[in-house]
Amino acid sequence: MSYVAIKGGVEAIRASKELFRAQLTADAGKITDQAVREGLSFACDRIMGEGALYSEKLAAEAIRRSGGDLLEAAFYLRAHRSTCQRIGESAPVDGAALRIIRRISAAFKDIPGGQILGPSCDYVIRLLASYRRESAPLADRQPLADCAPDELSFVPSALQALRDADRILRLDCREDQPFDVTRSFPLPPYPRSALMQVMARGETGAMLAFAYTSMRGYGDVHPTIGDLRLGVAEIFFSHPFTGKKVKIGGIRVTACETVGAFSRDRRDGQLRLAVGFGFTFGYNETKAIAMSILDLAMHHEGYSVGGLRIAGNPEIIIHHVDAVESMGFTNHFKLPHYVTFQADLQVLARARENEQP
Amino acid sequence: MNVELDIEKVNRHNFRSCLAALAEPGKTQPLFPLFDSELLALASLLLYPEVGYHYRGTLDFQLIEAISGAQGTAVDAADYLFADHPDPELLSGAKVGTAESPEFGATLVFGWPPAGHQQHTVRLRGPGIDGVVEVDLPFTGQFFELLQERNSSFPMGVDLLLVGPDQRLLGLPRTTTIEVCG
Repeated sequence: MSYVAIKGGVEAIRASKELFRAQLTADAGKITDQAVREGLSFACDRIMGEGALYSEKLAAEAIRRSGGDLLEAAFYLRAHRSTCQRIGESAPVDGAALRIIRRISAAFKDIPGGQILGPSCDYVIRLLASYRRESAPLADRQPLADCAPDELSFVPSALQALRDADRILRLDCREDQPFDVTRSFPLPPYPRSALMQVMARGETGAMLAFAYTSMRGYGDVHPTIGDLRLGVAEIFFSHPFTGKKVKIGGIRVTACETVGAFSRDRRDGQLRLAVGFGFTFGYNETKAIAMSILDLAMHHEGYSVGGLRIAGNPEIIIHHVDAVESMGFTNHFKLPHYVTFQADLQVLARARENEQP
Repeated sequence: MNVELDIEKVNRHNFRSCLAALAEPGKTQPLFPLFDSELLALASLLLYPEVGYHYRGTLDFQLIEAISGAQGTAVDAADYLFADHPDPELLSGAKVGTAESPEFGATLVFGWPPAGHQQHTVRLRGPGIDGVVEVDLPFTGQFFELLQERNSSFPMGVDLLLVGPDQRLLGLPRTTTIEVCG
């Protein structure tokens, strides 16, 4: 692909930018970042994951600046992230150590800690006409983003009993250290840690679509939600001087374990249940479930049947779920391609000349 | 005051200045000091846990190590070399990268010597320079020769940043040819 250098148009581009800002100011100038953060918390959560930067404040600002275009907003966060100083890695987060605001299991009715419905749109009837009546009593509620971690409780995974009974298949771990996709991109065969990181940053719609292929016919994943939890994960970091672990804060996250059918465990030949895992910044249940399904499909071959592997193909997933990449590539087609298109026209003319009558 | 936030802001400003300094060699760019030092400001900007650095001078790099996670290393293994003044020994021992990976050539960051130090007027040519530009640099003739020798196998070579005086930054990337006047 080649481009031709374009000169001129500076004034027009400047005017376009000013028009864009003016349009946003006119349409959204009265919306504050705080209003976005509190009123559109799921949108903030979504782009914090896709932008790979946990900052509710910056997420709200990004949504306001992009006029609610979440792909653009995630781009803002990813761009800002690239300017942040890299000071090290936090300690791993244990999914079982979340302070829970919501935890459900579709696998067992009675589970230790109970089914905690928490805040969810699952039980809301999607009738716009009833919105005003339903929303009125919620006015005094605490914003979703502001639940104090200390008010929440720990509960074990609903699959812990199955783990204790050795009924859950464990994948071989061939990695000494987790791969870091923010430093370099992996080569195939892709480490599971790299796939999980790319999916954790993946665009929610893309993740859902790929997972849906597996449910609809290009695979065989029809899992059971073993444990879906929303809560606050405490983040620990090594103190730079003392070396001791210190808690530096808490972040809201979603974690999901889905149970597939049984597979033969390579370690000892026993039949055990396959489990996929999904994890997102903020509260994003759909993406966490989709991620766990893709994890199942990619790491348990029995879940991709029918000859056409989409969800179960790491090559497809790792290269096609990133919002910043896919949006950037798609939008680059708007850039001048005058030379390449002239070449296309010449090829067309030659083909027509050589066409048999 | 949120100290961490201030450091991030200083780093972002200085990053732009570094880009500009290397994009337009010979043209000075503004630099915000950190902990009262331009050299430490660049160290905070450039260092992170996966790179090694070497420092020769009187500044205390302990805090920079703590916040950047970078570790001190030998001269010939360092990705970034810092010195209070232009140091021919560091230049001589710095990595120049390989033909396959010239990006592993080291970046040297030197502080400007105090007033009264010998200076040479030089002509700079190369990418980012409109024809030729003349500047005064605090290097000895031997230092110029050594720099030319280290950058003689382009794209292998070293990039050089000079900091101060008056919170100014000047870049001499490996693409720049230097001719000593007179």
